[in-house]
Amino acid sequence: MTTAILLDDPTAAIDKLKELQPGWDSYGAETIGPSERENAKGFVTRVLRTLGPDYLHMKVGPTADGGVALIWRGRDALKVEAFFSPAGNRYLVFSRKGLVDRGPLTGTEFLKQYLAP
Amino acid sequence: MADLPPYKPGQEVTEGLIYRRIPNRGTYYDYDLEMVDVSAFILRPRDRGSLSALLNREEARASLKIPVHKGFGLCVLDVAKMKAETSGQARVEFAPTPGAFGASHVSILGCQDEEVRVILALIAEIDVEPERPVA
Repeated sequence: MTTAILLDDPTAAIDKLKELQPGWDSYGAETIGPSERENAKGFVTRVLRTLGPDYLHMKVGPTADGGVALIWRGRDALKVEAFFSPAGNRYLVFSRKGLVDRGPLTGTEFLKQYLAP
Repeated sequence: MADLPPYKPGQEVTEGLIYRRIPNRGTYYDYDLEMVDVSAFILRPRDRGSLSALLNREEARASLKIPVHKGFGLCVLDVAKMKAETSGQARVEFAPTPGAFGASHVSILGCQDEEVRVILALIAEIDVEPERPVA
């Protein structure tokens, strides 16, 4: 099974998600929609343009609701995640202690805020 | 054959461990940190806040042997801890289903909120680590 790993070309990994069949997670997951894939790819392009290639070190994967997840890891096991789903686009930040931040995905500022060296 | 759980359908499960499969994907399980990720608890809209899991560890482990589950792992959640950590928002109901591995099926209710899903990810432990993804 091919799957999400750290990739230099996240857009290729996002495109590959269209190959998933219904129920790919063993719990009846939806196939990954074209809008969600395009939104995720558009965001990756925006990240490259506004923050640079250092921010392209992310994991790419599907979500059960037919969406795309992009995941970055910050310092001290901080997780910074962006979701592109039929219900909308959002980001989520959490640490081992719990939820740190979340909100609608309107730009790339949250990545800079939580991942900047 | 595994013992039947001592619950009636619809009855709340208040203690013990439950098991949920996780795909072998880097967005579901962080192989370096050995942590389950939030993606493992994302719902479909039609799920109405409810996720599936199994009470019986042997059944859960046996379910991994199905070819389509090849490489999948199992995470385990402590029911009482889940309820306490989510202030009662997440709770477990016995909901057996027909077919293979359905005799100990439970529903984890109250998972609509992202903060609840973060808590589930943080308290989840690994019973069977998913195989490393193939690039």
